[in-house]
Amino acid sequence: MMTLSRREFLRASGTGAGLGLLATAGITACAAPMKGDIMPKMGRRVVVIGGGWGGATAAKYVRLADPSIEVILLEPNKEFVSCPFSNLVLSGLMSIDSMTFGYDGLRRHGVKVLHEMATAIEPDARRVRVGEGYLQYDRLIVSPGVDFLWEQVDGLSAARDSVLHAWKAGPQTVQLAGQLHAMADGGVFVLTVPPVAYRCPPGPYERVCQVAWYLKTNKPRAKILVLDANKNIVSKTGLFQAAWKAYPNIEYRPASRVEKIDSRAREVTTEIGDKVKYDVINLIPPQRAGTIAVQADLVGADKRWCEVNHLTYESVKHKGIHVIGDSTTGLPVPKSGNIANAMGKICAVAVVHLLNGKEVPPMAPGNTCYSWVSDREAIAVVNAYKIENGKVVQIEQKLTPGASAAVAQNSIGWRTSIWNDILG
Amino acid sequence: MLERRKFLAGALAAGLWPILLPRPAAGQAGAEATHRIEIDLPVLAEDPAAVPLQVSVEHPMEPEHFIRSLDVSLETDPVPHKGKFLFTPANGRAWVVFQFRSGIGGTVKVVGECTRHGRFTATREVRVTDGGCSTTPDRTARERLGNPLIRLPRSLRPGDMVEVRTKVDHNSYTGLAFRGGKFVREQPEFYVRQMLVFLDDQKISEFQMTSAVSPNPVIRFALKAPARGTLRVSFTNSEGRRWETTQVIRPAAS
Repeated sequence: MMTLSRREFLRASGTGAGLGLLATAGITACAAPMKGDIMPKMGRRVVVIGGGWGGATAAKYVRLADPSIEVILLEPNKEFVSCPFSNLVLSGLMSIDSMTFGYDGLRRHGVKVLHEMATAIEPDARRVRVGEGYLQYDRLIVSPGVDFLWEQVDGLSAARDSVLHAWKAGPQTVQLAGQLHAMADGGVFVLTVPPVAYRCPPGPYERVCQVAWYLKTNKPRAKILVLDANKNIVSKTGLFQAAWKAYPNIEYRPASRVEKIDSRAREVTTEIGDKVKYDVINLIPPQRAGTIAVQADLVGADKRWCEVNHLTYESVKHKGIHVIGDSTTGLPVPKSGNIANAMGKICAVAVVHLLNGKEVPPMAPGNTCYSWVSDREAIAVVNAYKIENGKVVQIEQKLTPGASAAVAQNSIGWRTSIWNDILG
Repeated sequence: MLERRKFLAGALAAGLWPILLPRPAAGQAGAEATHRIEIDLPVLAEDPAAVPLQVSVEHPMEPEHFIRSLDVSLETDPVPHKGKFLFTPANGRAWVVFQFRSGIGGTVKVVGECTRHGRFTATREVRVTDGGCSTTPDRTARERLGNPLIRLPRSLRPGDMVEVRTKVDHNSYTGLAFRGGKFVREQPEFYVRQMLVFLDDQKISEFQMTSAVSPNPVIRFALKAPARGTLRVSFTNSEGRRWETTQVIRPAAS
């Protein structure tokens, strides 16, 4: 018998099965009677679930590689809002509109964009359930991003509407910016970092920089308190530590996982029992693969992330289904937008080769990741990879020597280019 | 297990943190089944510098018959030994939670020692992955050192089994680097080597760590609540530097 139940221990360790969160894969308990094929398949078809950095890229690149293949993209949101750069909305340096785009570019490539939610996958029948109907596929690419493990923080599920994560760019980003800007001078902004792995390892620390810069400039008596579940800054550690020296309003507490939130008392409690009061809270919850990946049993035994073939991104659990982006695990790559975009392209080419009966060429991703540490300077990391014995292996990782305006300028070129690559 | 989970969930909901632990089954001396080590590890650990581990043995902790120690290792790691945790009957339960470093994971082996029946072993596999964005451990950081903390309930009934949580800020590095296909020592190791727990003047637990302990460890262990006393936790690092903190245990209001 455990002293802590296994569930309690895994929750405390930041991993964990989200027991009870979702029923087992493949159940049809919630199934409405099916109306049938909502778009009968005429020729070869690839369905893509998720129109983010991975899915939108994959959809476009299948069309570019072979226009004889029909591509249907399922994305509930009518607009694409970029998570990369959204931290600058908090500091007021950019508007949310400047990083919001429509899907007409994909339509111009012949991608059929349906603003619907995929509700289930039936791997044996090779079809995706959408509302009361379904779509058949020859190959399926699943790029569902991340979803949150609400139950790992006591009190969070009940307070979801008021405790913001702003970890999926969009309305919450604008709302959190509003809360920050309305906070009294002298107030405390609390930001909590979940245990690895989560979307965008340097993201929380860039957010800390942007909030700290904003407070230093506009509310000099206010402070930002960072409660990090991890033992240290997870990414670009030395560079962020150096950047934070410019912000005496930052208090950073590592090994301080948040266990509980009382949104009425405006207080969070850490694993060691520290109680911290906040005026504004940004609680970034622990994460797992997007819900559809869990429903379809694409995830591992801990029900968190999907293991895939490193050359084709085909799921190790279900043939014919490929998983890309934040939802994947096992590759030595970060959960970044750039990696999702790279996986989207590689997977698209792989899927087209497979549908055409050709051998898939080995293709390795690459990653560049920028973090803005103030209103004008940024830092960056670059990862180079290769394929070795069928696995993605890191060749090297390089960091910029420090923060600079030149790196910030580079990042503007990067975003223009990559947003166009995904959606143009 | 379900019963325990409900019990724990209820305790949390009532705001009675920390956890009141159920007492271990008494009178099972000599039974083989009680020399079973429960090892809890994630299926896939995602921070190589902090793999979380829970180890416990359901076994009496009586003066003449108790679990003296739990020893944790992972043979294929460059620093295979992760820690040895020594208990006394004052703990009420042989149980510990801590975090250790492992580059790629492997087979975690735990050796328990019973004062009456000797040694027994259990193993469990753990896989470790790396997020890909992480930078190599900062070998020189010594800025945050100390700030030891103990947390336990404000008032306890004598005999209650409680969970004690402790923490100290301290970097941790092995001093080893991978060069030319093997690990070589580049600089001295730096880590929290030992945590001692005293109840008044009596040492009740001794946790010996290695350079494979995670940075900023959070360590949990069990305590059978006395009527009163002072709990003292003392951390010593690899350079012999020491930090202490105490918590006075007061009788529960009647």
